[in-house]
Order: sequence, then C-alpha cells, then structure tokens
Amino acid sequence: MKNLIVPTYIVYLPIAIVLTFIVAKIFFRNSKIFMSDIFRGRMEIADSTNKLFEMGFYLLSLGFALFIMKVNDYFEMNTQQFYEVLSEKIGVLSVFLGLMVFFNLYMLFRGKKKTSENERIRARLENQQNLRANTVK
Amino acid sequence: MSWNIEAYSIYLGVTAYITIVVGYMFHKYGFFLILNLFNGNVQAAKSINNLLLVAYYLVNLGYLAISISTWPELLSIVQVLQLLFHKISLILLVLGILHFNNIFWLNYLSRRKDFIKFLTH
Repeated sequence: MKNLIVPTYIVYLPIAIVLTFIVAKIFFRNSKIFMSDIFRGRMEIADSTNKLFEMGFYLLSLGFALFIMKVNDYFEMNTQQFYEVLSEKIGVLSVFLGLMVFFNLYMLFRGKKKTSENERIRARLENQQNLRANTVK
Repeated sequence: MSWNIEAYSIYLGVTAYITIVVGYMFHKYGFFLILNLFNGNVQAAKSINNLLLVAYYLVNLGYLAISISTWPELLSIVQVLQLLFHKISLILLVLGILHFNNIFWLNYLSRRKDFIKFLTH
C-alpha cells in the first residue's frame, strides 16, 4: 500500500489532454464541410463558427476532465486499485467525449434543417411579393 | 494472490480488439448505406461516417474502461476464467443488439421520405 494518488494524476492528465485534442481535431476537420453547407458557402462565417464550436468543445471537455480528476475513494492504493481508478477516470472522460461528439452532430443537423426551412420561407415570401406586384400592374 | 491485473489485461485486450475490428467493419460497409441516405453526396457521407466511428470508439472503449472498476477480487484461475468469459459474452451480446438496432433504424429511416429530405436539404 502506497500513496499512488500523484502518479494517478501524472498518468491521467496527459492521456486526458491528448485524447481531447485528438477528438477535437478529427471532429472539427470533418465538420467544416457541414458548416460551409449550413452557411451556403460563405466560408468566413463558416470557419469562424467552426472555430467557436471548437473553443466550446475544448472548454467543456478539458473542464470536465479536470473536474473528475480528484481521487476520492482511496488514500493509499495498491497497484490493482491504481489501475481501477485510472481506467474508471479515463472511461468516464471517453464516454463524455463520445456524448459531446453526438451532441455536436445533433447541432450540425439542426443548423442544416434551420437553413433549409429559412430558405423555403424566403422563397415563399418572394413568390407572394411577385404575385402581388403582378396583380397591382 | 489476486489475479485481477492479469484478468484486466486479457479482458481489455480481447474486448478492445473486438470493438475496434467491429467498428472498422461498420465504417467500411456502412459507408454505402450512408451514401444512399445522403443521395450520393460523397464528401458529406465520408465525414459523417468518420464522426460516427469516432463517437462509437469513444463510447464503447470508455464503457470498457469504466466496467473494470467494479470487478470483485479474483483469487483463483477458475474465477478469472468464469468472470472473463461472462464479461466478454456480455460485451458481444450488447454489440450484437446495438448492431441490429442500427440496421432497423437505417431501414426505417430510409423509408421515410421526410427524413431523407431533412438530411439532404
């Protein structure tokens, strides 16, 4: 039985940070195409929205990773308990990241839907205005 | 002496291998289904496929890592084998059920015209 809490932190922190960065890199490289579709090819707005979503993702994920870092159950651990604590922490973080990815996907699809709805409404309004103009003539 | 650490390494090795291979195969063969849903928009289908793969890996491997922390103390080889096969079989069952659930939803959604509209417009 040794005090293995600091080694837990030393192993956990690099894994958590690297995992978050890898997931964010992959996600926001792939979401660019959806953003450009949502903003109908206006690339500056699409890129900056992508960047803002990325910032939010980093903040939430790293914040959660640091929030669950503290070892509450043990003061002294043997090697087995060290592995158990470590795997539980990494697992919770990984499931959280997965749920964040699904949430961000949901946001992308929602944006897509809103854009097409807005376009439909605008087209209908223009149609009505054209009709009115024609009848006035 | 307790056999927990050895059991953990075998368990994680086997289940992580299964998860990764299954995910890779879904990624490979599910692409055409997604392409079908997206009306042949290759780039969008590719990126959504990659994102789904990443989320799948994160959730499944994360669950594997969490599930380790609730194992009892394993004192003999027999216990190790019993628990190991029980847990691996549970993972396989859950993956299989999820897989058929996914097929059902893909089939159901691809029949619904408004969902295709929602995805492609």
